[in-house]
Amino acid sequence: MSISKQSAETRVRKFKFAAMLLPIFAILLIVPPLVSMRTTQNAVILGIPANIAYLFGVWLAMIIGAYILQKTMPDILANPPHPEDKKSD
Amino acid sequence: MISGTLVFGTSIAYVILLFILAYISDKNARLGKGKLLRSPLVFTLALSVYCTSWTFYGAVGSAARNGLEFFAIYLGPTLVFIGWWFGLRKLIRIGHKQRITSIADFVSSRFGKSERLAILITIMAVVGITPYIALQLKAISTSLRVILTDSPNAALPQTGDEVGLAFGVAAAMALFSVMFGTRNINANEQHHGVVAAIAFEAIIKFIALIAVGLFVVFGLGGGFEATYARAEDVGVALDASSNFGPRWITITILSAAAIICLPRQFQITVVENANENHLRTASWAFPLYLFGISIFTMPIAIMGLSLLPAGADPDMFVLTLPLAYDQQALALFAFIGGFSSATSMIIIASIALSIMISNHIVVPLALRSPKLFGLKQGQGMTRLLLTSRRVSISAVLFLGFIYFWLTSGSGALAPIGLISFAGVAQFLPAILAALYWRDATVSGALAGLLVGFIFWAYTSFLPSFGTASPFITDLLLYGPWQMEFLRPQVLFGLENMDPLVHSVFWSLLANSLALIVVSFLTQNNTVGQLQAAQFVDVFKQTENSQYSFTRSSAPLNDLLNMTQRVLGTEHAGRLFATYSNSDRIEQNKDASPHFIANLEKELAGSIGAASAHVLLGQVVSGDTVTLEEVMQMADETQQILEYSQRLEQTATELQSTTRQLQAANNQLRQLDQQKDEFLSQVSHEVRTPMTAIRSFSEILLTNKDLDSQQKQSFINTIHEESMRLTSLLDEILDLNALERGEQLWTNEPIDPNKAIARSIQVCTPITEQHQVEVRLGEHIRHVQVEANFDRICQVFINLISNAAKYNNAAKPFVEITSEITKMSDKPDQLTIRFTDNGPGISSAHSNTIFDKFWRGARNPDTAQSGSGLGLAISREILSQMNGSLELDVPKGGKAGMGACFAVRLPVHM
Amino acid sequence: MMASGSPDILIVEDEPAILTSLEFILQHAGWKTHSVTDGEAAIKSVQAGQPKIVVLDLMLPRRNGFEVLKVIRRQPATKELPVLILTAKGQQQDKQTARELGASDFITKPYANTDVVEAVANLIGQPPKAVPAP
Repeated sequence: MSISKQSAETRVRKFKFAAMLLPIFAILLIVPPLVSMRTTQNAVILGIPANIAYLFGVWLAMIIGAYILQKTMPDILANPPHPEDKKSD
Repeated sequence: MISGTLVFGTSIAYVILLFILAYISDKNARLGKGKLLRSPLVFTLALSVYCTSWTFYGAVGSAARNGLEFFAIYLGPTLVFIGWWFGLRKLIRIGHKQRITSIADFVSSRFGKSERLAILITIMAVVGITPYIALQLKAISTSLRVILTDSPNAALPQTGDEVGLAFGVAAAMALFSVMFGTRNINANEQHHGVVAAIAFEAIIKFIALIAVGLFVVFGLGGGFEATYARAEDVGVALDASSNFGPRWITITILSAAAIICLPRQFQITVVENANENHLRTASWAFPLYLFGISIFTMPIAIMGLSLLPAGADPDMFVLTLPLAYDQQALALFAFIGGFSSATSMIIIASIALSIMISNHIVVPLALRSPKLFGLKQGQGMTRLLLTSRRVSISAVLFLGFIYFWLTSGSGALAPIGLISFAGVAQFLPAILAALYWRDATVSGALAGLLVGFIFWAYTSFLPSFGTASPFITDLLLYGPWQMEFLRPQVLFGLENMDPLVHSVFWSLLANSLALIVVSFLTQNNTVGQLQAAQFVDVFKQTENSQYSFTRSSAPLNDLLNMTQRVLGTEHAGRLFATYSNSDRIEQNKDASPHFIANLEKELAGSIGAASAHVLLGQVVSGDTVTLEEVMQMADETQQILEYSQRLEQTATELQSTTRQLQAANNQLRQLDQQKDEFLSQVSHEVRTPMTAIRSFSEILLTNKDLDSQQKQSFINTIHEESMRLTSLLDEILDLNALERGEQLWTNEPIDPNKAIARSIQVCTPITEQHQVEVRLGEHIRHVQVEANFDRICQVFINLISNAAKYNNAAKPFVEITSEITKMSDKPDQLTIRFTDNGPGISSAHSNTIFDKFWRGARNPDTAQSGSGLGLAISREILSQMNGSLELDVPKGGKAGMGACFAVRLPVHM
Repeated sequence: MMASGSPDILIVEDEPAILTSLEFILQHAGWKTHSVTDGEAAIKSVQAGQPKIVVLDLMLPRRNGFEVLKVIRRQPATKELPVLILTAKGQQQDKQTARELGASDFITKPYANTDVVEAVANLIGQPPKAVPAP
């Protein structure tokens, strides 16, 4: 009982930490110096210029990160549906 | 060339489709059907109202002119959504709990339900959004002209037709918004029909843009690689590091702010949100939507620049590229896509603004002067609300139209959008403070918003009229009254800066500073403090921890009348029936404070927190309670918790006290036992000489015939034993005094060598008796120690006589040596050692020898033994001289070979 | 003051003054005495000298009075030997221990000389030659 509760607490802690890290890393990736790092080269990735590919790649990584994050969200953190799930007149 | 009939026909058909869709959705929602309408998917699609015609047309234009900058417009919102756990989730939770109706309501509710704040934000929002609505009108009218004339030329002047067209679009949108946006006045109840239409439009514009993109890249460009290969030729700077300069950061911040602060985004994200958990899906799905819609932006820009004649308007490439290659169906679809992205923005923005205008401007005015607004009895308020919202929608759209008309021909789509972004971004400091800073005050928020607004209007909004008025052109060039340092785009001499970065920098800096400084200087009132707690600590609160007119009362009848005026008879009746559990409302029965608090929340859902608070204040007698009282009343649980914590603490304290008592008790018992043992030992020590004395006395008494020699011997024994008894008692008393720490003497500098000489002299009878040689070994000659001469002699005599009495060696001796030990933190020490060659003291006894009444194995020759207190007394004496007495290892000798006692004394400096 | 032949009484006492007084009063009463001053010597003397009674101090060097008593009671030859305990330790606990170990009588120091003489006479069933006046 107490063990499973503890591991749930740990999961919650880890989730909150990950939820904080994701946007922080995302910001670091899209501001200089990282974002302008490739601008001196003329490299091409999958037919797309390197810095555009970089932006799309980082963007996609953010989306995947957000998907994984909300998937692994511990159930106990999920808010119950709004109490008065509103109906119209 | 597509015929006007076809274009208009399609557009009208599309709008009719929207009407039908909205109508069916509304109906389904009302019947409780339409699960899909409340799904996270629809929520996510509705969020894409962010992507307006600016995205649809303007992003390509921006890519053609400014390279990669358009990415920042979408990366900002992406950051906000993937960081949903810390920002949006809190925003939505508060929105639900406080029945927030708009962004103005949100900020005003947080800052003490301030009316002034709500009004300010409403005005700011209307001013800020007007250019944005104008942008949509401009996009629609321009795209219409393009598709009708098939001319990619941007330089074509705006015709009267076009202005009329824009007016027509604005009117149609007003009609739609009024029909589906003002069906009911409870803003907190979602506009399902509108949301469904918006979600549908999201799909249309997405598919349309993708379709154009696919055609351009694969039909015209020959794939991504070939398309991008043309970039250099047409002058699109993909590799310039200037892409990621201050503008990049500024636009990222602006767009991140916009996704929260734009009234239409707030409307969809917070007000229309049915379930907080939908945010989980939106956190990745909405960025994915943005991602998808951006894929073809740059390729379309490159191909447009490459294939279309110079001078073609990049903002219209999405339309002109298919037209130029005779893809008329695709062009028409693209037009509808652009149309849908413009209309969705117009609809939601106008609804959001109308709610703000009616709740925060019209209702407060009506409450001040009811007669003017025809509010006396009955249904006045409901009508007023609906009317004011309808009028507001029309007014907002009309304002947008005016702006469009005034700024006609002034530049591209993206700059206009960015002006709006910079305007609404002024809400950001206040919103962040509302969410996270408890000490932010209403005055601080007002000051920040006002200052930010003024700076924005001067550096961003005003210059956008530059083409329309020569006066403003002059102002931009030379500053007001020729004061150059006040030039709007080079404020305070901040030159060589992009106008947008310049404006955002000054306005947000001044805004935040004003907010912080004024907040530090002012204080919130009671309601402000309570609301601050409700907002900042929203996740710590339990359900229904509401307050407000907590200590108040009002007749139910009055409340019902008032509620009917606001919500209508039917809704009000339902409310009162639910809360009072009875259909009859008794005339003079008072409503409970809890009911009043709930009613306020319900009303706030219709007319905003500030208005609801004022309205209720007219009916409810009694004042809002003080903060302390509320804390006491509302937090009973907290108090119980505190009480139990105190109990727990007391219990812990008791336990610790018990433990201490037990320890003390144990110590006492030990001491008691020691005392018993001591007494028993004393008794034994006293009894022994007493026995001899008594026995010999009796012998002398009973045996008169003893010879005189015998008599003399017995009397001597009696005398000796009496002396022994006396000295024993003396020593016991002495030790007792020493142990109690009584100051029996004062320490003074003395010569230890003299004391040693005296002691040797005193001991001569004993040492001679035992034929013990006393040697004076190596010793320090000229030294003085802090001690008492007589007492130190007592110690030395004890040590010498012990060494003599117990020494059984063939050639017994005692050697006395001394040396000085340097001490770092206290006076140097003189160590005097008494080393003998006797039996020594086994390690087992090395500690017990200092115990009272301990005696070494007696030398059989010894006629008399000591009391067994000598070493104990010596030790006490030395400790009172700040010295010590220890059993030591003989210097240079081995342990076990004879005994060595070390006396240590502080040297007199 | 040594009597010839096997002694009547073995005195075990380490305090010289007390020993002198015991020797005096017991010899004065007509018995032959032999004295030792420690536990080891006492055990040897009991086996060698076959006294009629042992007058035993408890606080003794080397082996204390209780140990001596135990040895005496363990030996078959001396099992029945009367032992009179003399001690300055007046506690009840010591009396109890002495009785359990088989002491014949127990006298606390300081004692009246007559008590010692009477106790010895009782234990060996042989009245003193001259009873000292109380």
